[in-house]
Amino acid sequence: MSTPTTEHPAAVRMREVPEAVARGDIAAAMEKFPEDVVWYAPAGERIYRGRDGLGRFFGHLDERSNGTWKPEVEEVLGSDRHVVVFLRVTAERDDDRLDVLVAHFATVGPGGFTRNWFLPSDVAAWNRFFG
Amino acid sequence: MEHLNVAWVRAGFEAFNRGDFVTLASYLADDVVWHVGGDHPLSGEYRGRDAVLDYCRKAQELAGDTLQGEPMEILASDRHAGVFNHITAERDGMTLDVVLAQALKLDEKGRWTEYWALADEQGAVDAFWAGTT
Repeated sequence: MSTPTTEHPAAVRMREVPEAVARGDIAAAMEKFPEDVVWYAPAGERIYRGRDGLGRFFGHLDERSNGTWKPEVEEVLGSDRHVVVFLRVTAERDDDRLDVLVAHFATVGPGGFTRNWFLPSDVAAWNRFFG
Repeated sequence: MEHLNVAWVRAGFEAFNRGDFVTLASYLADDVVWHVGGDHPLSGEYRGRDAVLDYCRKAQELAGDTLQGEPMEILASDRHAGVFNHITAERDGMTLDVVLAQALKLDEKGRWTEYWALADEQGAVDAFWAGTT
């Protein structure tokens, strides 16, 4: 999907996160978050703190999907204070396949996206695959 | 310039705050799907306008009509909305005070077709609705 020309700068920066993840460049994705990033998720540790915590979150998805999980941007909405990206996340493992919509909410801080809410629309399907 | 659906979504949440479920019904698609996350007695998936309104009435009833959302910001487009909502409620001496990230999918008329959400302190939400805080 092409980037809308009127997209807010925060939305442009957020769009770069799933794009980096999709090409396997987790390091580039992590650069968008400050050292004290907080990441809320509906499963697992539920609250991941710091870049180490975010690394564990991404690492778990990689491990459970054999590196196949991939986010694709549907839309990004942004302002000076907040951003929301709607993602289609797919993953495969053996004969199992995941395809869910995820909304990733974030607050915009000087060092990056500080507080993050990562919301799969179908938590049961998410937990069945990644749990 | 703010998208028209920002004001539309705000008005829908204001209807919920004042317990105006007749107005709230006009925001919901017939086949709306409402995912209530977490691990508490209200958690689950509500399908269809009537089921969603029953859930909303039940939540307000349990909270003695104190359940209120004060949107910190609403972002919206033709297809989606995201609400950063400061949620407060009281129940039997218990207090709920969390920031809830709420996602909506919208149809071509702006009606809400799917809702899902996650709190910053989901454990506090679970405990509040379970009556154990």
